[in-house]
Amino acid sequence: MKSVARIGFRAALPALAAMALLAPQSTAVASQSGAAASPAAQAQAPAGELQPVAAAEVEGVIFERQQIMLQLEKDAEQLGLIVAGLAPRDKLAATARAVADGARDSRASFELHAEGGRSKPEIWSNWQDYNQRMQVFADRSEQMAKLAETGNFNGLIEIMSDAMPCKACHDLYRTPKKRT
Amino acid sequence: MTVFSVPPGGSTRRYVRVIGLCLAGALAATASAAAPVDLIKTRIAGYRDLGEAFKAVNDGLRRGSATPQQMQRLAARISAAAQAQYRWFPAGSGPRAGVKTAAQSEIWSRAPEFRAAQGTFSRQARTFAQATGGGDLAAMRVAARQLGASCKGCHDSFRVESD
Repeated sequence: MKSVARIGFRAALPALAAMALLAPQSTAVASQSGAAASPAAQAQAPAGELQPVAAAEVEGVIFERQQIMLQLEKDAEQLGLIVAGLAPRDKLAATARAVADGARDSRASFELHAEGGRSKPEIWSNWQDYNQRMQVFADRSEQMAKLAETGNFNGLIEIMSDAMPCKACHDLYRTPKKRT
Repeated sequence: MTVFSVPPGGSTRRYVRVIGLCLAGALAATASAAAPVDLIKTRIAGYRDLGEAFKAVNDGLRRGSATPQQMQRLAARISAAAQAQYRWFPAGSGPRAGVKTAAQSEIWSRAPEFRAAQGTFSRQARTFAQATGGGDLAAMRVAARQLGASCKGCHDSFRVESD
C-alpha cells in the first residue's frame, strides 16, 4: 500500500509539489501534422486522437496548456496539504474535483499537437505511451474525486499516490527547468 | 533641553522653512521607499484578476459551458487590465533584494521591446472583446488563443519562469 499516511507527509509532499507539469519557455514548433482542425472539429474529435493546430494558434495552445498545468500543480499541492491535515478538510471534495478536472483538461490539451514549452517532442512521437499514461492519470483522479465527494477520506488516501503519478511522466517527457 | 535653536543672525522664518523642507524630504524618502512594494502589490493583484478572467474564458470555451454574455463580461475585465498594465511597471518597481516579484529586470532595460509586447496584448484583448460581441464561440476560441499567445510572448521574455 502506498498511502500518504504510510510514506509520510514529508515524503509525499515533494512528490505532490513535483506536479510542476509540462510548461513554460520555449521555441514553439508549429504542428507538423498538416492542415489544422477548426475549434469545432477539435471539440468533436474522439478522445485520445491527435489533432493538428494552425500555426497561428500554436503559441496560444501552448500557453493554455501551461496554465492548465500550473493550476493543476496548485490544486495538487492543496490536496496534499488537506490530506496532511495542514489545510481544512472541508475543501477536500472541491479540491479533489479540481485535480480531476485538471487531469482531464491536461490530457485533452496534449491532443492538440503543439510542440513547445517544456514538453518534449517525444510526447507526440511516442503518443500511444504518453496518452495511455495521461488517461490513467485522468481516470484515477476522477476516482479520487468521487471518493472525496462521498466523504471516503481513507479511500482517497489509499489511491492518492497511484492517482497522481506526475513524476514518472515528468522524468520522461518534460525538459528540466531553465536555470536563470 | 533645546532641540532647535535659530543660529545667531539667522532669520526664524528661513530656519523654519529649511526644517520644513528637511521634513518634507524625509517624508518623500520614506514614501519612495515604500511605494515600490505597493506598486508590486497592485501589479500582482491586477495580474491575478486578469489570470482569473482568462482562466474562466478558457475553461468555459474548453468545457462547452461558455455563453456570449459571460464571455463579454470576462472580455471587459481583460480589457480593463490591458489598459491598466501600462501603469503597473514604473521605474523602481523591479526586482531587488527583499522584494518578491516575477518581473524580470529586462522589463526596464529593454523598455521599448516590453512596451511593444504590452501593445500586442492590448490589441489582442480588443480583438477578443470584438469576437465576444459577435456571439460565435468558435471565433472566440481562436481570438482567445491569439490573446494567450500574446500573454506567452511577455512571459517568455520578461517574467521569471513559474514552475
